[in-house]
Amino acid sequence: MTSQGQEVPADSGLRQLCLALGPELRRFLLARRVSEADAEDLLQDLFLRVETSVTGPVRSPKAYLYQMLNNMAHTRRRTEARQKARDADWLDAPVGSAGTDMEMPDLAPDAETALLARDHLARVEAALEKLPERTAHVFRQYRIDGISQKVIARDLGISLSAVEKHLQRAYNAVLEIRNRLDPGGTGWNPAGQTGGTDARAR
Amino acid sequence: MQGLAENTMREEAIAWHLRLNGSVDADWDDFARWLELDPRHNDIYEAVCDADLAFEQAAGLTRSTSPEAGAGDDAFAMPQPRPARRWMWPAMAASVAFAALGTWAMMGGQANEYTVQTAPGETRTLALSDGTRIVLNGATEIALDKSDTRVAQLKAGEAQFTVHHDDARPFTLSVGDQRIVDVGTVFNVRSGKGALRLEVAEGAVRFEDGMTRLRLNAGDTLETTGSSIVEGAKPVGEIGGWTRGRLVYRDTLLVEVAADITRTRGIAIELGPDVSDRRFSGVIQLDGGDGALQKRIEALLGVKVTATADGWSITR
Repeated sequence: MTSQGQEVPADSGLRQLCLALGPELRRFLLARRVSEADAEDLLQDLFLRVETSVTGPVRSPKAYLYQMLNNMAHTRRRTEARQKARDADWLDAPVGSAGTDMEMPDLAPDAETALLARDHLARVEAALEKLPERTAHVFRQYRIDGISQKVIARDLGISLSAVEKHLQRAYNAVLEIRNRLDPGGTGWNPAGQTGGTDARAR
Repeated sequence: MQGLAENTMREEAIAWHLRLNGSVDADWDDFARWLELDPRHNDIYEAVCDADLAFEQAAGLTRSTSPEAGAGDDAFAMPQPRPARRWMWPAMAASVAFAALGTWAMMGGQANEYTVQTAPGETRTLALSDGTRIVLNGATEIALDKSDTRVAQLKAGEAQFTVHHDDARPFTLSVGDQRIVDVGTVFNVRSGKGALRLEVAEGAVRFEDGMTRLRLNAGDTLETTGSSIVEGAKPVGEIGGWTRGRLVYRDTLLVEVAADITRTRGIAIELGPDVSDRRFSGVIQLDGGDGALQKRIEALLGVKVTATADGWSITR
């Protein structure tokens, strides 16, 4: 990971790029339907995070900043939605209890969210079964095993755009389930890692 | 229920979601232009992100359940997480969240150290906010610090570290009173019974204890027991094989092979006295159910593997 592509030293380069891209990033946030005041806020926040939490060289720094900002915009919207929904008791779940299901070690699902997750998984599995085997296989590799689209394409000997088509189809089917379970897809969400952390951080 | 236009928008949103999270050269300008085309685009895109994020918990479930999950299904034969998703959405979201928490914890003066443990047979991947990834093998315990992602302490077991290198703040792993300092690295560490085994797959690390300072480059290995330190070499492709679902051996005692299988698959193994001093060279694929693995091991090792009430018994 430190050996590929062009890298920019984190401390000075990323911050400079952050400033240089300011107008572009602001426009992006507005396109993401963030209010002007919030956009200012998020950009400040981004600058701060680059300063405090990025500690190594970053490959493809522009994409890195965009990705970070994109996630922050998403988090902010979720946090606001949650505030409105006012259903925060899962945030009080003790840190580190029974956290065997998730990658993030400090956000443990309680029994109920684990149950919901199991139910969700069963529905997703059922949906995948209706898809062509290869489509389901590609989805699992990508979304569950975390294998990159490029590697999947290489392993299966198909083009990247073919992988994308498989994924598109699988996502369509899988997201459908979510929409049926929870119309609109906003508000309280058992897997709200990102929003949850931010809400806790306040 | 849904209009044609809405379906198209949703497909576009999914396509963007896949493209933006799958690669480093996604075109963010184009994405911004697409968003600007129609105010609904952003809402639909957000819904897609929400749904994908919601699936994360369910996906995590299949990653950490036993290898038999979804038996009879090829794609689930080996549900071990692979350390290959540096740029994907969940990992990214997680690290951003983690960074926020870290900052807060520093200011709030919370207890920042926490430990993560795995049961035998359980593999788990941790993503730190600085891009460092740690894959924990089974029966492993590691202590991390929320406010400082550059330190970790391996208390027991085995883990592979893919360290995001920073000259100014090198990543330091302590194992007892020994320290491993990265110089830009992928490395694998195993600790137990007073012994430490370190294998460097990429880059270099510095090994330090009270007396010794050694630099290890890719392909170098080091083994310490008590006060003795033995340096060696290993093909880099074989290092951390367990993270890719296989175990690689050269002239290794079956006792060690059995210990690896126990750690990685959670199967307790009892070795008969007639095989304990045998050695094995070769590759053991870990995919498939316990039954398949049992047959494979019988064939590869030329032994008899009997399933007992609480695991396996291996005899000649």
